[in-house]
Amino acid sequence: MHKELLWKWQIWLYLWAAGVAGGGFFIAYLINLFTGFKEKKLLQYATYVGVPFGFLGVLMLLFDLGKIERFWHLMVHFSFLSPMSIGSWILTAWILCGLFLLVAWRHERNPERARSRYRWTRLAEGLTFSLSLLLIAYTGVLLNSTSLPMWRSYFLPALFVVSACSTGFAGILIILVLKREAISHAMGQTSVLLSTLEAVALVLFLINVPSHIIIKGALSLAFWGGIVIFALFAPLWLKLWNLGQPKENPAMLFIAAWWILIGGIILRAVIVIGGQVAI
Amino acid sequence: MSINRRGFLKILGIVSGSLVVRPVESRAKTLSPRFTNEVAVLYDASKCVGCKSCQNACKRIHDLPPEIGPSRLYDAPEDLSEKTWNLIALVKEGDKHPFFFKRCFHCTEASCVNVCPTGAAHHTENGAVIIDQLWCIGCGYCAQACPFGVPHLGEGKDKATARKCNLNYQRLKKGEIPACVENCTTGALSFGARQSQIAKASERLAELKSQGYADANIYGDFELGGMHHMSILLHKPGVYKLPENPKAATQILAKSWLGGLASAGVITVLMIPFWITHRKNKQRPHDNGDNGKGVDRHA
Amino acid sequence: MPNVSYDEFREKLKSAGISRRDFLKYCTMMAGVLALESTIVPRIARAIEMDKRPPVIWLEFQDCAGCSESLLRASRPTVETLILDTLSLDYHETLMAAAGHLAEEAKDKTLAAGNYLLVVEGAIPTGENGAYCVVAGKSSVEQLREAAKNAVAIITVGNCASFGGLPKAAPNPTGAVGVMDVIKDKPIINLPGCPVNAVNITATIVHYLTFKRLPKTDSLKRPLFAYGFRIHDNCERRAHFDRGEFVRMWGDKGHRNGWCLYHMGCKGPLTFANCPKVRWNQGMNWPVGAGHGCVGCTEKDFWELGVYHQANIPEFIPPATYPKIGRAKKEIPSSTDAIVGGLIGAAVGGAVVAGLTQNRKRNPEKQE
Repeated sequence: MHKELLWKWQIWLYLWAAGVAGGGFFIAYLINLFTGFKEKKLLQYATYVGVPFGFLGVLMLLFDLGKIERFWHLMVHFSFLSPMSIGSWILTAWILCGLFLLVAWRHERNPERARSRYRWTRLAEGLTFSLSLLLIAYTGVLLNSTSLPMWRSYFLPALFVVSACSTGFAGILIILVLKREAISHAMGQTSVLLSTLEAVALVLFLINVPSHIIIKGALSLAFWGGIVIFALFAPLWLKLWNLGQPKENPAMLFIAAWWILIGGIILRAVIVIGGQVAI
Repeated sequence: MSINRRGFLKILGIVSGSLVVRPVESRAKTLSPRFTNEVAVLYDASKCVGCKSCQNACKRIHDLPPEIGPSRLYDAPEDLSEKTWNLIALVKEGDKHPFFFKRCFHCTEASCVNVCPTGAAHHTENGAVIIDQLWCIGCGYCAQACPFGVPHLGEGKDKATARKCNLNYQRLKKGEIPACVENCTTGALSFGARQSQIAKASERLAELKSQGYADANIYGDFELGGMHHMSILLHKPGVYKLPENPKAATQILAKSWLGGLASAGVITVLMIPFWITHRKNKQRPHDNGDNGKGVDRHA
Repeated sequence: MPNVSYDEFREKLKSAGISRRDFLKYCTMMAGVLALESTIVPRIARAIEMDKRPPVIWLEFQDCAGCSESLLRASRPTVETLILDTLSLDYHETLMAAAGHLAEEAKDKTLAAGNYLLVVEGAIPTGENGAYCVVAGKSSVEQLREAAKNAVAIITVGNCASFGGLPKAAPNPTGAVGVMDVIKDKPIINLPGCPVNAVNITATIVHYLTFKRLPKTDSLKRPLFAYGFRIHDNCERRAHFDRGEFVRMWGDKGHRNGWCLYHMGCKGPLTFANCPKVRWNQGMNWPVGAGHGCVGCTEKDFWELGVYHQANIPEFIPPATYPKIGRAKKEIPSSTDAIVGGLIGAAVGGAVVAGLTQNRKRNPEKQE
């Protein structure tokens, strides 16, 4: 009788926003881990993007509720069997940590306060890193713990994690381009790596679930056009072309990152809609 | 990093605070529900004549409006909804045309209870699964998680809360029986202590098998930890589009998390080569910009 | 027999102990059988009482006289018998007292006069040039053709006359056929049944008397008022069929409780007749009511179905008043295409903007 979907655009927009926020920070922190924390700027840009996206996510979640005014019920209950319960706590904690970091980094410029806050800031960064990992993984776990056949594959959390990292990193790249900062080849290579991994995860996901509606059915146009071309092939091609250049071409990077970002929305839209329709 | 006393006290405070935040007493724990007075409703498909008295009684008791389906009849809704908490459906498969009473099965391993983020969906002490209408926030997770698609929310502006059969627990408290059972015209529905209902079902099953219904079975005696709304089916569950071995939605939780974390692990590992070399390059001021790969970029 | 006048008819009714009220009740019953509204009843009464009634010639060929017997199953004189009594039954081999040349002469006179109803009972054996049934020197085929020449209409009673009946069963050694396979140029009403239900004969005749025309028929020329619906659709045991309550063995609990006889070979679902409505022996009972399945005796070649073989119901569909098992389907929101289109548009737009703005500014290499 209900022809409408239960989870609509608010949900896939939220999944995307949470992915960008968590994924960006996750990748930025990893880069810092491997470079001895020499790429602080990336972490900061990830947070500048992540916190607003986190708030956007919260807003989307609120608007999706049937009884918005009762949202606080989430914050007085915890059930570790419920991914949604876990997720709401993780998201809250992540935003709080992110806000703390924004404040803490501001204070770090002040050398007198710098030393005492140093340890807490590092702790908070580490905590936010863990929370980012949990944040991007939980979105897939959330959809896994349902009874819709398309969402039951373990490749869904894997896909969402990669997609979150890819889109989050794209967000950072965009900031770098807009701020006209130099972008090293390693950045471009990371972006290529993430896009490739995303393609692999997507293929593994699609072959393990009933995916007819996505590949050949009503959502095929959005899939082939919006995801395969815009989110995967085109950016990949642009970045590979870019890597072959002597200098990074910021326009190419921007376009590639922009398309990856938007492709992330379409990916989540297709999966959320497709899963609910193909019962 | 070391934690000083201040840090330790802070952590202690957080942990104690989290202990305060726990489900209120009426919401029983979901992992091992402690049922004290377990009851069950038994539906005998072999006795059902499709009169729909149960449907109408449920609507009457809960003050639910009729739902006009594509058939344009007032008593043939296409599926369960927030306004229709039970219905009689008709299987049409080859020469098999049994009736089936579709409603919440009140599972012991209830997916809705497991995934509810606010604890609104919970078990009562007699085994029924109810969704607290004053506590539910209308997130819709239970509706997506239920293997049978039972809870439903409204559409659009009327989304409100998730609603489904609540085993008439208010009437049970007063010592009455569920309205559907009371109004059943042929005695296909019966209510009582769960053990006695199982015994009754086993007896009836033996009768049916001797009458030639070789595929007859009881659905719900042990499925999902045991259901409190059981059914005696005349054919295999697949004929009624019921899963033979239903699993709670949260059963794959551990592997789900592993899937996500494994993916993150793969990314982490694969990123190492790019950034370790980049770090090395940064330390060498006379880098020729080849990222250590030896490619001549000034060709 | 000469036509009975109006007054004489009323006298006959009185002497038989049938009141005017009983007579009108009978006319109402006839209206019911004919599926007509009650305002027709006075017309029916007048038509039955009228002076001028058409003569009837009743020919029997390859038959068992069961249909005539069916007509005679009256435990007491009823209006029915009187109607047929008062019809000028000019020639009926079984019923008439006359015999021999005189009887044949009477028949020939009526035939020559024309304007009569020809009732045929029994199949027409066409084998060996009609040698299998010769009456008074003439073969049945010839007799039928002669009798049909001046008839207003032919009413065939019984399955044999309608479709060939039992004589037609394989190997059909006599080449038996129904009347409509021999006579092609006269209106024929088939009243099949084995035997035919007498009520249907009288109803057809009453219809003719009242409206001066024959009732509407189906493609097998059977009047719709009697053969327009299946036994299955009016059977008092139908509810048991719908519920799946079947007799499985003679004398079992289901049989004692009057359950459906489908598994015992009842051909009700395939048979068009009004037996459950009008029943037999003045509404006493009918086969299913007595606990034996319908054999489908109003249908063509009914013996091929096998009395105890289950009827094959090709288009059995349960009622639509119940929803199907399974979950309702959801629809993709109609706004999806617009949204995706918008997103792709934004993607392209952003790319254009980037291409136009970014390359113009060169980025200074920053030391990191």
